[in-house]
Amino acid sequence: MISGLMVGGHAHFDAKIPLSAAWNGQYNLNQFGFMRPQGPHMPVTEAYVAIPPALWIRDSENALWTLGFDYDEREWRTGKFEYDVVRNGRKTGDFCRVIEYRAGKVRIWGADGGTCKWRTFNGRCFV
Amino acid sequence: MAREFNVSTGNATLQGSLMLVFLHSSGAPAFNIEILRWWCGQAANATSAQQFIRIESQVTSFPTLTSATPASLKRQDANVSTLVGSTNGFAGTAGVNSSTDNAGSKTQILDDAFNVLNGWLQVPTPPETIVAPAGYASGVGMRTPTSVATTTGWAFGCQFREV
Repeated sequence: MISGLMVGGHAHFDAKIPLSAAWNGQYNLNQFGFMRPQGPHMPVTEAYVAIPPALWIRDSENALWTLGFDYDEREWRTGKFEYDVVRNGRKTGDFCRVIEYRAGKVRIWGADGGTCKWRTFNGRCFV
Repeated sequence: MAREFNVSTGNATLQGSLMLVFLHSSGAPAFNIEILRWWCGQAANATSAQQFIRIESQVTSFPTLTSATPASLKRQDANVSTLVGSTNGFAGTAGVNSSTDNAGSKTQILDDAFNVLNGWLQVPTPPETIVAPAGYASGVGMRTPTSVATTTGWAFGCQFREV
């Protein structure tokens, strides 16, 4: 089942959605400690690192990117699973199969409008 | 989907090349345990280093763990896991960050390595998920088979569902 109502390719955050791992788009960082932003001592992630198999990416703004736990059950059943994209413990509203850091940009691979493609984070959203 | 749970810890200090997370399914006829995700990473060591990681089963004599109660993954899922937090690794229990491995025979299921700066996330596609059936004599866990360079600041866990 879709844990966030998809509207125009973006998840609609609603605290009343019963089966989301997040609450109002925010993950509990005590429960999911790996989503917590790390200190400035940790370096920016190297280029071409991808999630999975990496757990996280730290971009040049020291933001921590990772995959969340909400997924589309229909995609899961086909093996083409997509999870929510999480930045500093907060859902971005996008779902993807891979997050990659390349040329200083965070980009995601996932379905968008019926086809799979790469979309790059422009500082506000993935386009 | 309901009945999804996670067992995890954050900012942990490891005690050696030991078991990070250990699950042992309950006796039949309870739910089977299907493990959907494993993760492991640290935020203390800022120096690039490779680290081995292993998924394995252990039988008969189990690690001595820190008790960890499975938390419902979905906030409004009222179900409670059939596993309870415990330090002994017996059937129907879950725990993290062992202090002693004990002598139980171990069987490797999956070996991998990762850079400690990037962490490790294993999300098996559905046919590749590990299922520990109810009544399974062994527990299943994730360990660092070699000592880590820096023992502090680790976060690790697993997500499973009961089917």
